[in-house]
Order: sequence, then structure tokens, then C-alpha cells
Amino acid sequence: MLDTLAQAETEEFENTAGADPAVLFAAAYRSFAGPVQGYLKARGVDDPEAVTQDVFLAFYPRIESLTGGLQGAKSLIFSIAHARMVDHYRRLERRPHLTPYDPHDDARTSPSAEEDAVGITGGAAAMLEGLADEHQEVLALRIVADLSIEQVAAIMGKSTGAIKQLQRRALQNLKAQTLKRNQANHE
Amino acid sequence: MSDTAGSRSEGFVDQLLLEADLDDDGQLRPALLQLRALGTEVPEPSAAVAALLGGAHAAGPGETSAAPADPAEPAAADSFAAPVDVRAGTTGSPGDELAARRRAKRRAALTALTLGVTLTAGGAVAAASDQGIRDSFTHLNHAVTSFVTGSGPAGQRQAPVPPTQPGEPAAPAPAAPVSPAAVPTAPVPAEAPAGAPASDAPAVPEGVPSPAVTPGKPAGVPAPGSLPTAVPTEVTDRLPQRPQVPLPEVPQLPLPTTLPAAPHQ
Repeated sequence: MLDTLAQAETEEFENTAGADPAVLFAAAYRSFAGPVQGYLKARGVDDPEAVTQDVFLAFYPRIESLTGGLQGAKSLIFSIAHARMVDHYRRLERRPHLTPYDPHDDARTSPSAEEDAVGITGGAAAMLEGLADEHQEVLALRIVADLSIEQVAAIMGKSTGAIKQLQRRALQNLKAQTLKRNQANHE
Repeated sequence: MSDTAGSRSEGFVDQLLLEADLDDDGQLRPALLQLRALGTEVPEPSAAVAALLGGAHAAGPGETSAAPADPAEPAAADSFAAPVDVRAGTTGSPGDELAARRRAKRRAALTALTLGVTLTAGGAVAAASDQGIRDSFTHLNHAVTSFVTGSGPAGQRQAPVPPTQPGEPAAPAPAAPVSPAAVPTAPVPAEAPAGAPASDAPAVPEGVPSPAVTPGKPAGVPAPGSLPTAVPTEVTDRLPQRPQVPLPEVPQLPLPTTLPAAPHQ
């Protein structure tokens, strides 16, 4: 439903460069808030919901200088989200390291019911873990954010050829990782 | 509608796998579909975003149903007022950290530059006020001066001596104060050569009272052959009295007037 709504609105705002900013903002929020949150979740950002709101608040003042309708808004919104994600990881690097989790000290031997309940989305968010940073970014932008190769290239500052190559390797690595996980789950 | 969305996602995933030559895979496809499902959940808008959205919802119907710009409608005025307030609050808030980081970088560069200039200036002032450094500069200046002036007369040290010598046998005594050994203390070694009155010949008498002229004398001294041997009397009168060196009396040896006759036989 969301996809079709987004597609319809994207087509509606295709040539509305001078549209009312408030209307464009509402359409952008309806269409892209979910993908932005999913992208931030997939990239492991703390509190993705709050960061999503921040992204849209940062997007609003730039609507007036925006061109390209909803597609342009999509590129801009995910550029902001990408910058926030980079900010998050830089902040994380500056933060002092805490005591690492030691499984030997943990008495629990089986996952809790809560983990089972949220296992679907939690598993999806953790799916990209273990991949290289650029591979994670390409997959998150391509699959979760549903951006084109050109848009991903613009956001990551690379050529389209490099993005295609990265995407191929990322998928191969993800496949190997998924196979390994599935085997571990079966055992 | 969800079927349409699902089929679109599946189509996208199939396309992606086809591009990566992984279309025959049975395990990656559900994983990618699961990953794509992450973006389906729309978060609840926060208060600030809700205010912006509320403005949009109020303005949206007004624009679509009625005339786009109707100033008489109070709802439209309210709807435009709300976003402006929120936008002002947004720009005042932390906002884009990337821009703040760039500003901070520029500020750090400026601070570093200012600090460097200040330190350099302070160091220069401290160095200039230090007596030891000033002494060392004086020493260095002395060394350079003595090298420049010392190497100049050193080669010509032999030149002044022969012209003064030939006329007067008593010259060794007055030659001591005039000797180039006292010359290095002369403060203006560079100016002297230009104004050296070498052609006037009485360079020797003038050099005695004023040491400033003495460095010029060796530079302007011509070859010994061209020097006049006679010193003008008006010049010699002004000279300080030379010390009278007591010359030993020549012993009068009594020579025999008649040689003793040598025995020839």
C-alpha cells in the first residue's frame, strides 16, 4: 500500500516545482518516512524514529529551493538521512568504550519471548551486520530506501559503475552470510 | 493493495538479483524481501513534524478544493502561520550537524592561525628583550665585522709598512699606534674606501689621529713606487711628538793610523 501510494504521489508531484511547500512536505512524509526509518534501522542508528523526525525537520526549510518534485525530495531526504547516519557513527567513535558483553556471565540460555516477538523486524535490521560498511550502505539505500543507482551514487559520492560493483559484491556477501546463518539455525 | 505492494517489492528484488546474476537463489530472495519490509512502517510524527503536517493538511484542502490563494479565509492564514513558527524553531535547534561541523572546522583553523601568529610575535618580543640573545647578536655582528674588515687589511697589511719605512729609519716606534692591529675596531669599514684620499699621499699622518680613516688607507694605498717620499711640513707639524728613541752612540773605535809593519821576511 505504501509503495503504491508513494508511486502515485511521486507521479502526481512529478512536475510541480512550485508546489506549496506544506503540501509537498506532507506528501514526502507519507511517502518516505517509513523508508527513512527502515534505512536508519538497517544501518543500526540508535533511536531511528527520533532521527527520522529530525531528518524531516531538517528537510522542511529546504523545500523552497527544491527542484524535481517528490523524486528530488526523496534524494534530498535520504541525503540528510545519510548525513545523520554518518554523524551517528562519528559520535559513536568519540564515545568511550564500555565494558563489552560477556556471554559467560549471562545465565540466559534461550531467547526470550520478547525477542521472539520482535524477531522478525529485529532480524531484518541485524541482517546487514557483518557486511562491510559500504556494502551495508548500498543495500540499505537500494533495497530499503528504494533509490535508483544514480541516486545512490550521488548520495555516496561514487560513480554508478562503482555502485553497481558494490551492490553485486554486497549481495554475494549477503548470500554467503545468510547461508551461514541458516545453517547455524538448523543445527 | 498490499498485494500490489508485495508484487512490486518482489519485482524489485527479482530485478536486483537478476542484475547481480543471483536470480537462481532460493535463500537470498526472502532475506531481501524481509529487508525491504523494514521501510513499510510509517512512524508517528513528533510534535514538531505534526505541526508542519497539520499546516499542510489545513492548507492542502484549501488549495485543492477552493481557490489557491484566498486571503479572506482565516484557516489558511493560520495554516501558514504555524509552519513559519516551527521553521524558526527548527533553524534555531541543533539542526544539521554536518554544517555545524564545517563551521567548527573553520573556527578551529582560524583559532590555530591566530594562536600561531600570537606565539610567533610573543617569541620574537621575548627573544629581542633577552640580554643573552642580544649579546649573542652583538658577538655575531662583531665576528662578521672582524671577518670582513680583518680579511680586507690582512692582505694589505704589508703594503702600508714599506711606504712609511724607506724615508725614516725611526718609523718603527710611531708605526705601533698606526698598525692595522687596531683597525678592526673601526665602526665604518665600508664607507672608508670610497672617500679614501689615497692620491693625496699624506694618508699616513691623517690616519694617526682618527681611526675611522685608517681602514681606508690600506685600500687606497698605491704601489710603493708611486708614493712620494717627502712628507709636507705642515702635516708633520701637526703630528704628535714622536718619542725620542735614544740611539746608542756609535763607539769610536781607535783605529791605528799606521799599520804595523808586517814582517815580510
